[in-house]
Amino acid sequence: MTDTAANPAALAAKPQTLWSTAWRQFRRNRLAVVCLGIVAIYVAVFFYAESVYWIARIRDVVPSYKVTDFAGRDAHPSAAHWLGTDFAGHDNVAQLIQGVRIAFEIAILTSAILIPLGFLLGALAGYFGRWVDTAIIWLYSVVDSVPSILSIISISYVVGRGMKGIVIGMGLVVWVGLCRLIRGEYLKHKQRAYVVAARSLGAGHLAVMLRHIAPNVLHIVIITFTLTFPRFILTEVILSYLGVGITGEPSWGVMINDAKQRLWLGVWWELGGATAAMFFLVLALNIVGDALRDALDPKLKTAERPAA
Amino acid sequence: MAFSIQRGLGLLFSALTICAAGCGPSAAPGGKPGEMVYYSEGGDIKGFDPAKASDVDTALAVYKVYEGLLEYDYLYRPYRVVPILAESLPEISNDGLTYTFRIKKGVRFQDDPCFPGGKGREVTADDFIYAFKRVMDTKNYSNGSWVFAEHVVGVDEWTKASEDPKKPTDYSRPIPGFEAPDRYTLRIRLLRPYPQLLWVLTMQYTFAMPREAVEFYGDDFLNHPVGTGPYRLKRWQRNYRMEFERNPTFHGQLYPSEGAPGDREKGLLADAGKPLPFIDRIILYNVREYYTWWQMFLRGQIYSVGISKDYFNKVINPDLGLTSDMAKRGIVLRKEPQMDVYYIGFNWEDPVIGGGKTPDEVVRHRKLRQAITCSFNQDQIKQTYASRMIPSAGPITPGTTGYDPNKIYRWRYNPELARKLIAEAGYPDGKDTRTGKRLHLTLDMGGAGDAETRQLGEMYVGFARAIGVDITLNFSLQPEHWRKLEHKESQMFSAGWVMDYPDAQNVLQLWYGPNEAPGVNHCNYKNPEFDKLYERILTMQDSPERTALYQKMADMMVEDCPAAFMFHRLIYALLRDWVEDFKPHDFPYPNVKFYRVRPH
Amino acid sequence: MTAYIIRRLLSVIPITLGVLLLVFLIYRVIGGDPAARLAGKNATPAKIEQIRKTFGYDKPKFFGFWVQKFFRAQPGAGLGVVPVSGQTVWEFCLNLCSFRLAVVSASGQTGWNFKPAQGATRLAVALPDFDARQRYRMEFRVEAPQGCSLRVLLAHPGAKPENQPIILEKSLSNNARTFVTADIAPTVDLDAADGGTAQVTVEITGGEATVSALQVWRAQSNPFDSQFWQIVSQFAQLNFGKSLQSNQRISRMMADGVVPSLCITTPIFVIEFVVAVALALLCAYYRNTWLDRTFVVISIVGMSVSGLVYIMLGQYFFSFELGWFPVWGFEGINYVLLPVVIGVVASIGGSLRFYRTIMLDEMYQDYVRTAFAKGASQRQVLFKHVLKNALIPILTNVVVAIPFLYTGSLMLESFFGIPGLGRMTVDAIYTGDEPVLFAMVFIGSVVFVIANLITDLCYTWADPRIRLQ
Repeated sequence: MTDTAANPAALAAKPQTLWSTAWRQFRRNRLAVVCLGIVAIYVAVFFYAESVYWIARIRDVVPSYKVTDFAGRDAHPSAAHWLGTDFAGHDNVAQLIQGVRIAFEIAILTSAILIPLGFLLGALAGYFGRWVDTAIIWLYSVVDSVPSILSIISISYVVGRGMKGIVIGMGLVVWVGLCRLIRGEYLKHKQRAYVVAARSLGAGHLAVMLRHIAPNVLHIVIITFTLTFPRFILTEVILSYLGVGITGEPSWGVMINDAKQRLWLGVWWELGGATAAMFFLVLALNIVGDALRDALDPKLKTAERPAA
Repeated sequence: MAFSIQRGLGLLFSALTICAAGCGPSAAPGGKPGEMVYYSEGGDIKGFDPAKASDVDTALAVYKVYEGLLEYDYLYRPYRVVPILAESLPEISNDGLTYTFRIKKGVRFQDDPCFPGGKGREVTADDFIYAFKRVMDTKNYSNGSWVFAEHVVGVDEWTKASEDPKKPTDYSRPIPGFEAPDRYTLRIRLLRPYPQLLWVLTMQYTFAMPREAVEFYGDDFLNHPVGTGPYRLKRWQRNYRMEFERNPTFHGQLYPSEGAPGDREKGLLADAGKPLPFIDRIILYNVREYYTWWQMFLRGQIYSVGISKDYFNKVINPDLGLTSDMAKRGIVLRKEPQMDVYYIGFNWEDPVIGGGKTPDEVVRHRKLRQAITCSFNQDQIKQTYASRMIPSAGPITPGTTGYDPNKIYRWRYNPELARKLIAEAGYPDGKDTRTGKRLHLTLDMGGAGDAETRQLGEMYVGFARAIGVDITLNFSLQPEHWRKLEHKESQMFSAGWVMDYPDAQNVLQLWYGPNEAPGVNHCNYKNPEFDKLYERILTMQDSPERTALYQKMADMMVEDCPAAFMFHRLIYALLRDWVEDFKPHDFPYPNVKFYRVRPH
Repeated sequence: MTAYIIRRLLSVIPITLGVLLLVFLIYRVIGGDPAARLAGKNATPAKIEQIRKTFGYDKPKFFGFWVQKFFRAQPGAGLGVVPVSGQTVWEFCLNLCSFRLAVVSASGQTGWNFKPAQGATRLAVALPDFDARQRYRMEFRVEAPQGCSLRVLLAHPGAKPENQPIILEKSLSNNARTFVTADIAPTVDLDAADGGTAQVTVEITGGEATVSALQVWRAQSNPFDSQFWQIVSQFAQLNFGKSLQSNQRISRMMADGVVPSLCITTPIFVIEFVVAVALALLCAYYRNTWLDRTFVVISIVGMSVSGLVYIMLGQYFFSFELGWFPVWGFEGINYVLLPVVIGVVASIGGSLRFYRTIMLDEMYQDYVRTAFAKGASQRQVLFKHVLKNALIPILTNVVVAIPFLYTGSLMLESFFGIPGLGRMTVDAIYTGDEPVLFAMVFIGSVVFVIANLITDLCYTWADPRIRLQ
């Protein structure tokens, strides 16, 4: 939270109060705090699943969730397997836990593409305006015009199936929302006194953009991340159904997709388990995201019509 | 824009009201009282051009409307051909190079606006020659040119002439090998004996086609089939539903009166000698999801269904019969061994598992391929797939001469042998002795998006891992999969071959050296000895000697192991018991005309 | 006002072109050309060449002076078509503009080894449909030991083999891979038959050599005669080509699919809109009470379940377990009911939350406070002021949803067997039917762009402030 504006002391104190007031307000929303706890549990599960995966990989052995047991396949729920087993005798609970890992990996990797992309383009457009703005608006209007699920499929269809396709596909499509918000913020901020002051003190464009304005719009990135995370999870399910999903690793989408055949035989726990695991994370993230937005920037218009 | 939406809404409601008035919720739609209607699943079809009907669903549709000179006997086994548009089986000259067909008189194409006055014209020998030329015309992109290429006199020159992009293909230019001495005689002259000719003349590529229809409809020909067959297309809602009705000018055919042993007891000969077809109307739905298909079957909306592995236990009891619950509902089980083979191919040109360049490599790579093959547990696949397959012992498929059901695969699952072989290949426990690194292979699977393929692939990965080899799976769409094979880009690939006719030559060509990619030899296997034998059997008529050669070739290849043979499919199909006269067939394309639907 | 409308109308053009460019980039440039697939399983090189020519896949992507020319290995040489496999990023970028002519296979595995060390080794390729008056260019990569020399010879159709003009003569100095470019100049004086087959021979003497990544190009005079502009002009004439899967005209498939799609999407859209706006008003009326909060939580809960799960469970319970609706098909109104109900349930959560946000935004505006201060009742304010003012953002949202009406619902249609555009698209995804996807994506985008245009124009009409800007 650095600030080198005319009156450093007064301005430097401000961001801190923003975050702490935000936190105070967030805490008042009890539902959101509970949901934050749920998210924390998922994060812990994610680290656990990640460690299972990496330990097996480093030791060069087959990870436990992938060990096949054909004798015990398609088992019903029991004390040993709370949610039964799948076609190759993998424990469904272990698969669900790995599903958490895949969901987080997708979210993190996709965000690693979309946040820099959206932020940078939005900042450039908002800050420089004129033809840069026109070009970037053109670019995001074009990307936004294409029905998002179709363009994600198209991209993953050409770059290759699996994690790579999903991540690149979503990353190259979903940045538009963030870019719009950031552009709007930069438009607002570039006329503010502290920016004008920084410029007149000789700060370069890049410094103003990144060192002065960026910290003031950072909360938007956090809100966007929280609110798009659920979207990644739900999109992955649809992509798996369409055959461009994860392969080789257990993901929730793949589980739901596999369960659909067996649902008709009364096997509801596969579908139920995956849906519940997904549901609580998505719900918690949605509520936390809303609460964060209310706390940090109540005027921010992040509500988007969900894609069909 | 607003205008077009409004118009759309108008259409929308009118469409719905018509439907709502026409059909009640429970009645199967489209049927009239007293009519015999057959409902089935039809799949996505590529249009009604016989020259381009290369997939099963399209072939099934095309065979309802079009006919050729010959067809397979419905009941008799082993398979034999019977004449349909030919008056009788052809006269074959002593050298086996000239086949003379007499064509049935009085057969007419169905009535269609493409003919003068809308009345169907009589079929002549020229209609066959025209159809053959269409298949050989490069500009038609037909998948069936192989049926005559390199076999019939003058065909290849004709094809070459049709390549010229600047001129439309000249159909008046004759092909010396196809002659029509008179309206009802067709003579085919061959370059060398072609024992499979009669088989291929049952295929859709050789069906009689009226030139008028092709010229009248032009680009739209694939939507307007004009054939001689028992049915004609009535309505086709693409992507959803196809409806065929009886062709009123059908030339007539009788139900066969001779069958295989046991057919009489099953009641299959009760209708012997009666005129075909029995069913008045056929409705095919394009259902993609399996369980939807299943639901529709249970509710009687369609009359037959395959059994997916997930449903097997519910339907089939441990003795592989139908469960009583199903039997009570009036459902009959049919088991159909398929004339096909599924295998994992190894690319012969691959530097790790291919044929090898130095003598040392040749031996080590062979051992590696054998080891991987040995690690694949066919019995496990069989169990997981609920006995819907027969473990395969080589390339020769069930139902063809040379197939031995008791043969045990040389590289049957054997973990000890696999470990021994892989150690001898230079990868003890899957680790390269030179680098100490684990062996990584890639396996290309077709059929992305389909859970069954994905699960099968994951099983292969598990098997190979048991002997220490890591396999990475690549899933791709079928066209993408083929492209990789054609460009020799795969290391290992999963593939299957469904026989075009009941002769093992059809599958052995997959390993004939000159057929290497982009040809059908996707393994790019090269073995001069094998090639020599293949060239020999090409012109041999069916004989014990040829069968022995088939087996010898199969053994030779299994030893070299350019492919790990996995299984032949065994299809368990369920049928409503009101469908009568149904007999499983490996080439079931025209068979719906033999079925009968009892009132229910 | 008029100027604004005109400007807005014109802005549709660059966006439409941009969409086309984007889709073209994805499918044609990165995705490769579908000629091999069109040709089918037993494709011959000649067949592929034919198709590439007919569909224009041999042309440069955007701009260029060279057209890819197909060639065949001469019989006996044991060669097939040169496979063009994966490109490196750099090569891809170069290829994009077609300035650089060769497409080099990244693996480098595709090539031919010449065995004999003594005498000349010959690699002969046939160039069908050769026109001696045109300029050709051949490129390939050679790997040969030091001291090898290379000659490229050309045999015109009709000309005797002994007077083969030598196109290129070169000694290969080092062992590294060398890139060789051989230009074939037009020869007007030669009475070579137009359209015959020429033969180009590569001769390497002095050692065992490998030739790889061989490509042949033909010069073209109009550099803009390219794939992209071809597509632009085709699409401008509403000609979308044919489906690879079913051989049907795509425009016809679309026309067939619109009505079933609308049967599903229109009721969903209307019901969802009415219900969601009504509930949102209710929430605004009782804002910050238990009722409002309950609705908010319910809508978030509803949003948190995957649409696929709604469809699967709905189909399972209502069609299968309870038998209230048919499982699959499109035969009458009862076939449409369940998909519509599921569609509404699955999407209402998001809409409710969205509309509620809009309403509440308006509730906190100054004019509302003024109205309250003037003593207007809660109900009056809500219906008279808030609803009226919230109508603009609501309408925006409605118009923006129009493309959804057109493209149909992918999931619903494919699960319930509705033969609409959504199902068609899903089928195209499964089968890799690129032209259909291409057309669907494009049309979907254009409808969206037009819907946006209409919204903006409505805005201008409804909100005088915009006119002033």
